Amino acid sequence: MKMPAAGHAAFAALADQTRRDILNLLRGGPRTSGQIADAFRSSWPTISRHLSVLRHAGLVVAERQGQEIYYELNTSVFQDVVRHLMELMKPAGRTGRPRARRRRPGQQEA
Amino acid sequence: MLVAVLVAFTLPAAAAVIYLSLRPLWAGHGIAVGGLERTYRGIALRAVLFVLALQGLIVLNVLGAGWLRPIAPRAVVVLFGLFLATIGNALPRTRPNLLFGIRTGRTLDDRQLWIRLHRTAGYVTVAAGTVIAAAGALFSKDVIAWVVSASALGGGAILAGVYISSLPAESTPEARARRRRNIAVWSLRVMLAVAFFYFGVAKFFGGSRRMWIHLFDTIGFGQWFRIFTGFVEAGGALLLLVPRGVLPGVAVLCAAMLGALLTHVFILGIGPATITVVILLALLVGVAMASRAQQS
Repeated sequence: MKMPAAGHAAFAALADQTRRDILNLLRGGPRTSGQIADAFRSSWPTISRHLSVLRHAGLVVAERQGQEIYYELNTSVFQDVVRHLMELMKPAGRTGRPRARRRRPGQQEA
Repeated sequence: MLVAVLVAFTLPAAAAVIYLSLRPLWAGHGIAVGGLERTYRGIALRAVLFVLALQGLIVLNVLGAGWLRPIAPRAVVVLFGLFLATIGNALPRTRPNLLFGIRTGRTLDDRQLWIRLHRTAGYVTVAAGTVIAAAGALFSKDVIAWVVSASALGGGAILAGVYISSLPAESTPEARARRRRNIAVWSLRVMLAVAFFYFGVAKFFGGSRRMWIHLFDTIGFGQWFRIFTGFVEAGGALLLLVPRGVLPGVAVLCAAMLGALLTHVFILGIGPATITVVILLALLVGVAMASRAQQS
């Protein structure tokens, strides 16, 4: 049975603000990892790791076009709804602009 | 009894046709890539499951499961709603392909347009499916019919709006005229399809106050003819919605309407309903001629 594992991976992938922001960004069309990293404060390796989590959960797909690899949104309707619910229910202290958010030293990396 | 036999073979045959015709999407040679196979296989499996569940209901009904009889119509509606919702859920994951989706010249050429349109289509379909399933479980028969038609029409209108507004502006007057004509023909096709689908499905269920049952009693070929006519009308309606199905669809529906006209003239007597038949016949011929003019 692969499905439960895949479903679990999708929930885990959605439980992170930056990754949800990446998905939101990709609603506007496919982007390269460089373009995605430019839109965030985090470093390129961090974004790259987030993208790999999203890809393994099947929420984005990587499409090669010539030299570049474009990331394309691949969420189902249900996953979009879960993402919205998570946005609605996230703790109040975190509602600031996503770009300005910085990890505290002790905070766990997902 | 004939109906029972017809049903016993038609639905599994339909399931097999659905499965085999969608199979190239994941078993084909390089048509689908990456996680797409799973998406397409999932869609085909859901369609097959839906048809088999219907089949199960009908077989139980024929075998005389008395407890099932009162809830069977509701169960069909709920199943259909759930089916729509699960298909809609997967729609944003589809990509331009040979067989499945809103396939127009433009969506097949423009991958981004396809993705945007199918994401919206997914939301609309999931919403409509959920509403239909809930209505089937909770409301009375009349409300269900109303909710199903309203959500189908509303969803279709939203999708058509999204698609038309995504088209680039045409530059020449001829192109603009062609597009207006195109939109007009498609609107007519959709309206006819909705009407005939409604008539066809109403014949399955007997119609309000068992109108169709009485009518086919008067005709005298037996009730299997009612089911057959329902199949023809609903099937013809679906054909009207397929880009290349317009001529076969019109042919099938014209045959049904000519039959209806003959029964009106020779058996039932000419009345107000005859006018409806003649109007529908005229509209069908008009659609066929306009589509031919477009193709040439």
